[in-house]
Amino acid sequence: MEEDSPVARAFHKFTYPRLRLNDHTLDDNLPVFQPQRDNDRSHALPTASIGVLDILPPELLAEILCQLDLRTLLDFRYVNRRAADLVNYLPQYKGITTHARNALRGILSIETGRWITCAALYEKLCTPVCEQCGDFGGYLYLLTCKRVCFLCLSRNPIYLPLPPGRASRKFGLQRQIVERLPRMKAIPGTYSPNEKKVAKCTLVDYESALHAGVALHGSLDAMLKRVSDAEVMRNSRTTGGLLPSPAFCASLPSGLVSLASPYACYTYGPGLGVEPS
Amino acid sequence: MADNSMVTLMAADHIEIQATLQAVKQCATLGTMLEVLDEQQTLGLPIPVLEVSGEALKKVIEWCEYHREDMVVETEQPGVAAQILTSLPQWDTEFFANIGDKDLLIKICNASNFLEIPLLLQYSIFVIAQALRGKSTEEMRAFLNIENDLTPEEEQKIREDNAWAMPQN
Repeated sequence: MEEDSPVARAFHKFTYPRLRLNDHTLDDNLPVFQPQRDNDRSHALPTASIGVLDILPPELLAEILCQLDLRTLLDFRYVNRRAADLVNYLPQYKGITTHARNALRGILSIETGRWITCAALYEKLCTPVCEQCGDFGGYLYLLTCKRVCFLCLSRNPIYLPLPPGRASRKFGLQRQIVERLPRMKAIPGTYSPNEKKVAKCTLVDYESALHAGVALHGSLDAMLKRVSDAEVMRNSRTTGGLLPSPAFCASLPSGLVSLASPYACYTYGPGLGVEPS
Repeated sequence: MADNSMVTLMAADHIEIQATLQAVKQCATLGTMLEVLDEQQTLGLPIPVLEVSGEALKKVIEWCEYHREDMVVETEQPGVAAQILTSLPQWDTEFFANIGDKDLLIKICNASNFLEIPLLLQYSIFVIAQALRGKSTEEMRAFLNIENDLTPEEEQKIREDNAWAMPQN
């Protein structure tokens, strides 16, 4: 909707203002949207059933589709005509493609659609609240599908995904564990208000890595001790560290990226707004 | 009638299944029926559950017997409002792992909808979705025994209509 249209003005006081931050989100790094085609049917009426699922009533089918991850849901459309209809008329999917195409496109382009379900994305789009602080969360953290506000996104280290190697050192995790963590493919471009340049790379979720580390070592303290011991060992051989990589987000209506201070920090709360030491 | 007295259910293929009254009350459909009907009329008579096959009903009752101490969850509107499951309790995980056959799993899902057992319905939907997750289009067709009636042109058109979503391909 155009921002200065009469409708937009009439509803102004019922909506959140668009802040127009120069925040360089994933949206700004992807090509401009093509206008959506008219909603004409792309295929003829179904002639085949959906196999063993056919005995289920439509509301149960809808329920099952909602719990599929987005990647599988989109692949399900190509199964046959009836499957395509079921997905295209799924209320949650319809809502997402009508109002939040950029969120879906962002998820698909950074390849996190494998663990975000249709129901989860829809639910996040229906809440305005930042999951950390409860303020208005204008951004969607696309790696694990979380609503987040500008401050939490730019300050909280859990919204700062990190390269797999660094996650493994920082939380004392073996490579097999790191490979199972939620991960994303970075789209090369300029991110965050600091205009950080990002090259093609893979990043894993900070919070999931932290939880995996705590689970592996038994407690936060045990993990920190193990990691700092390993650090001392390594530092005696080599020096230097990596700079943080920015987080990628699409937002509603536009997205953001955080660039927290370089995280040479070893004190964490359980994922809540901790200052780097 | 005491909660531990036995009730007989009759499934579609005239298979009779014994269950405790307490377990049967997990099924809101049967529970309501037993409340409404006069005890004298129903005592000792098998309850017809002709919409459900014997095989599926057996598994459903097995589940209900295990969960018979649980509070019966109020039926509310299914869908988004329900909280999103991420994993099942251990016993239920094993219960579904032992089913193995997807046809039976889908029948259980349908039966729990018919008999109104919200928790079993939620669990079986979750298990079906889990079985599909990560599968490619061809794998899903094979798994669900689905015939493809899309012409190559139609498939191409769906892809074109959604080109906005896949900037890379």
